[in-house]
Amino acid sequence: MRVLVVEDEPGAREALVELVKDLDYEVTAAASVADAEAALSLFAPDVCITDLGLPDGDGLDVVRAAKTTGRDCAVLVLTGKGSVRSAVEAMKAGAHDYLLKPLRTAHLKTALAQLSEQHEAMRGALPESLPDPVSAGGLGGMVGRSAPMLEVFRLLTRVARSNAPVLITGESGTGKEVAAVTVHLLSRRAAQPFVALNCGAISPMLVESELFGHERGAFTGAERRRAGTFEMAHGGTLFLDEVSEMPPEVQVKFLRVLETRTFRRVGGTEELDMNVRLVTSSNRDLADAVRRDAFRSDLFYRLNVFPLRLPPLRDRKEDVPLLAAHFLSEIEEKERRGFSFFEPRALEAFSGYGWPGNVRELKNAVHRAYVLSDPPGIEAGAAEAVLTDSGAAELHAVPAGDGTWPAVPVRVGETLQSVEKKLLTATLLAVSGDKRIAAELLGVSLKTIYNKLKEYQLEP
Amino acid sequence: MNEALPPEPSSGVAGALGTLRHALADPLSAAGLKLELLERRLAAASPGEPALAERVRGAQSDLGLAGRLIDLLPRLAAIAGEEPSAISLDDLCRVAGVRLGENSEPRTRLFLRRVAASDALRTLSWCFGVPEPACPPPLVRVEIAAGRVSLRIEGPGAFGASPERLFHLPRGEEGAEELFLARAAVESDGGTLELAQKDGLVATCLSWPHQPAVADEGLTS
Repeated sequence: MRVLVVEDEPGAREALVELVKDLDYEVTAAASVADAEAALSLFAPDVCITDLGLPDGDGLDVVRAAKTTGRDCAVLVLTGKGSVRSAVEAMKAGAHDYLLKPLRTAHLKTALAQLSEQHEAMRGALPESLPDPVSAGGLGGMVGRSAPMLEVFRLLTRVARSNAPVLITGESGTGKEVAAVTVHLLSRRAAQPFVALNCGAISPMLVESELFGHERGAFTGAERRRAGTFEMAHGGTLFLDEVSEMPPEVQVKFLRVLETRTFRRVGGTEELDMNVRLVTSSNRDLADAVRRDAFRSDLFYRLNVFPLRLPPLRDRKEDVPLLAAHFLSEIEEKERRGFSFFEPRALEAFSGYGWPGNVRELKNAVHRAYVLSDPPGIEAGAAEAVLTDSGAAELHAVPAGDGTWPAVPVRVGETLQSVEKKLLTATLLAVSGDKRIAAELLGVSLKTIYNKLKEYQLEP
Repeated sequence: MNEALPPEPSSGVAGALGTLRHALADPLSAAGLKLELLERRLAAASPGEPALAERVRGAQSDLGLAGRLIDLLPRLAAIAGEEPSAISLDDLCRVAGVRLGENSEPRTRLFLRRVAASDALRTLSWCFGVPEPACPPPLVRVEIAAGRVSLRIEGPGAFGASPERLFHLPRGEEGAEELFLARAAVESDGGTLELAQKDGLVATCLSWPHQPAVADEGLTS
């Protein structure tokens, strides 16, 4: 692997060059932006390590120059400022990653080793060989060819290969985890683990232990050392769903981990290196949470380096038939009852519906219609029954803006379980999938909402 | 990418601290790289001289500590650069993730650096031990007397030596850096931070001047 070192201070440059050479990489050096531009075309590096402060410009100019070479040159930016702004600006400019000065040589070695491994593994595989999303009907695990989704695919392809943190937003059910998996699969870390943690689905007191792990005896019940998600995802991607639910004290510790790239298990003293690509999501407006002091602004800026907003299904209705066919194919693959198509009126019913629960609701509706139909086609009657049965149509026929909530019809003799399921579904629909508000309205904990969603198989 | 980044402190104490960190980082970085190379050369050239290699590793460890300490500078810069504003006790405790005790006048307003003060309160609440997963957030008791608002937190714990010593960043003391920053934050708003220990209990007290008129003015401006 070829490495270009861009550093104006001669002592630091020579030491850095010698160390990179010691690590068995081919290396050359530049002392200015102009020298770096020349080296980028003559030396054709695979990795460029650049200081931010240079005599004729700054490191971001080198990042931009590297992006215009047409080669897949990953840029590591060295910054001594230690501020949120310098790190975030470097990533936004297209840097693969940033390293904080004073440089910890262990971090540099890890970053180079990883890039070298990825360089070998992924050489020539991406992004040129990606199938066209229009003809493929999607990208990775994401399905769609509507204009809003093509824009999502474009942004996602652009960001996937960097190490920049991605913040995925969108209404509940729009497929944020699928998008996170796709970022991982298109990244240089694809062969490494993808680990997901839903910050809202676990007790606030356990979030820290889940993230960082714990040592034996760290607290009552910690009978053995346990790795947290940061350790489990080492080298790969860590997806933190509903990051807005992270308790304030954990937000602070999380921020420090992002700043120092090290963490400790709860109750431990050993400093462990953080080596994960971070993807987070929230179905709440994080910027608004910052304004309400519910989420730290410094953490928000670190997570929001590359925001990706997923459109609601109602804004891409032309994707409904494609998605429905995709889910039918998935279900048929497992259950093998001999279904192969939708009756035209079934698709019309699906296409005419508002899908407040988004793609997740469509997936569940296709599954229910599958159960109600006889092969080989999903019947129109089944599709219409599914949409009526969900109660969603009624709910959306009633405007909720007057301060009253819509009613849920309940029959005498109906099981309590069925009533609970209806009420939970209706409440979530009425609050646009916001589980925290639903929990408050129903007088239960957020954890209970998650447990019930799992129990009733309302989550995919 | 539409959310504006927070302004980088470029003037005053905050700007100076940022510049100082930047200026220190370069030579420390170069020294670290040179020591790494020296260690490698020593290991290759004279593997029979472990004492020399050990000294190099000792120097690397010292340098690592210096590198860690200069990371306090941007955090001090953030404290210095934050504008004070009015905040109620209730909001301060909510943001810090602690419980306000009963009869604590939650609507009492203070004029503080909100982020820095809530971080300080959180540090004082959580830094003395690992909380049990099932335990409730720490409880804060409030006293308003003699023109000051004092927030007290007590709990089981112990320090090796004088708690006051922790504020001077003794080497190897867990939590000292956070306490150092907490005191800087509290004192930036004219407050005080005290730590005491007795009979296996640690008592902390954060105290700020109570200026209701200023706080209300800050709220409406």
